[in-house]
Amino acid sequence: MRTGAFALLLVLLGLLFLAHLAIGSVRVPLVEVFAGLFGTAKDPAHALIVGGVRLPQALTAMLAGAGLATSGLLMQTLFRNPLAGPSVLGIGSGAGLAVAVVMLAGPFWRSWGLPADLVIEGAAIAGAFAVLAIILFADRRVQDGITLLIVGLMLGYLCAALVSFLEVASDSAALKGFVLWGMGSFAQVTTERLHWLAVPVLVGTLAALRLVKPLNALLLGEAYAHSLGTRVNRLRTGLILITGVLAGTVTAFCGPIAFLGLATPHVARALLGTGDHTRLLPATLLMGAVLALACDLVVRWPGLAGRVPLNAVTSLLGAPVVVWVLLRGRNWVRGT
Amino acid sequence: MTALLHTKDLAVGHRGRVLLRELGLVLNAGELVALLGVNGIGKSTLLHTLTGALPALQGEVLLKGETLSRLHPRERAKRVSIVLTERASPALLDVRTVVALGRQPWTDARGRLTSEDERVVDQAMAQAGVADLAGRDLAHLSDGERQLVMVARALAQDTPLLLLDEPTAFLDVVNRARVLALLRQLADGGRGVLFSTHDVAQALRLADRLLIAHADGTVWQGTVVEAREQGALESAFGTAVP
Repeated sequence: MRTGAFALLLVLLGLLFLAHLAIGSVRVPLVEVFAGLFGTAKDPAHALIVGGVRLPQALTAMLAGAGLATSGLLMQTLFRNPLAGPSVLGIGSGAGLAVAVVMLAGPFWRSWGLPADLVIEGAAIAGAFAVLAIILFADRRVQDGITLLIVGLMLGYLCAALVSFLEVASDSAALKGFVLWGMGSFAQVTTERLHWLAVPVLVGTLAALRLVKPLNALLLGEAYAHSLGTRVNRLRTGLILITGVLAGTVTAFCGPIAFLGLATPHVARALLGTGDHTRLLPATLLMGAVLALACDLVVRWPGLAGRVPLNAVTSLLGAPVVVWVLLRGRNWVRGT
Repeated sequence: MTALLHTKDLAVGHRGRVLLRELGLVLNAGELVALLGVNGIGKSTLLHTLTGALPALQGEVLLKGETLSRLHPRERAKRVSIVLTERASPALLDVRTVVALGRQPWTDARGRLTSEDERVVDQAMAQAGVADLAGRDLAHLSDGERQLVMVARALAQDTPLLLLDEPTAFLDVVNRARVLALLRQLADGGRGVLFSTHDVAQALRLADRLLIAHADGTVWQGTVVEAREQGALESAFGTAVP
């Protein structure tokens, strides 16, 4: 069962990936899906749909899901709080505010010749770091995890309010682009832009995978981690950097995505039955890719096509998981 | 013989506020030493300073003759382990995994256990009497079982020096006796064991030596007999001691 979990995840990932390429407003036969992947599709329309539209969207979903899930798990371990995640702690909102600022200020910097993706990505990561810094500051001062979550939620509201004020002052083209971004979607990343998302996410998740040993030590608390030879300050800095880059990058390209980062590690824990990062972290990032593909498949399902926002689907999945974690009543308010 | 632990003119405290000072402590292999004193006097602070989790305000800590602050974290973790008062209750970790975390100073970058590591983990669990709990989730254990598991984790760390911060604080009489008997047994087996406690009677009965923290920030050191003769306990606690 234990090793079976990884096999299950890989099979699910493969099936969902193929389904994602085949299913949509146009149904592409599986033969043509495989052909499309290798550039040998008979129908040029199929080649375009599979290779040009659905493949980058499927890859975006997988990268975003894996990135958000990894950042969620790192935050849960860092803050010793199972309800931590990039969206609830306001990290996504911070990134969103920064993206809003640069998007709405587009008329100023677009003439400078910088790649727009780089500017937006940099802003989102900076915004994510800013909120993480505030959360870390708050974490040192509050006694329990619930207070920290409320601080995070308030930061989220604050950022959203600031964004509303910014919208009033912006021209309509910039506003439209931002509103579209704010709804959350895996469809906005074309093949040409994919590397801006893929490189930071891959670097971030690989860096996280190198930290499984100190992450496990951190499960016992910072004092025990220190006594086991972990450089706790360095680890904390590393985790903040990775979390900020992952959550910021994904938010920059896919918009603020609710619950995936928070809920996925719990689904992975339930599947594996362990909190040991050696297995939990790889399972979480695979599970993130699986759940993101599944959610996006619902969004693109024929008949619903495009009319249900991605965030509605991720919330439908994530909110019950949060309630389940709360009701299970594990002692997750940190001890003294 | 080099002492496992030796402090020179050590002062400990928080944020520059000195709690205990002029500490010249010596702890040798095979000794069980109890650290006594009223609440808030700085017992935990002292133990955390001895592991390097808190910086010394003055003076230095030597572990087997080497300065603590200059040791690589991994080397330090091979010399001194600690069992804390705080309840560590991580989600979904079974007892064996928790005990195996004690091997971290000895394992590779990914924390993989060799067969030697597995053997030490088994031995540590057997010695602490928690081998039967191996597959249980730490979060579902009683306070007594959990404390024994944390001791087993420290044993798996395989350090010559073992520090424990109030290891019996939340335990019932039976588990208190179990933990203390285990500490005595560990010292008899050649480790140096230093534990803080409120339980003066048990300390007097079991410990080889006492460290008694006084309100003026000094720490009295000596044997149980000397403590009785010199009235060190009465001056620290302000009342007659059995």
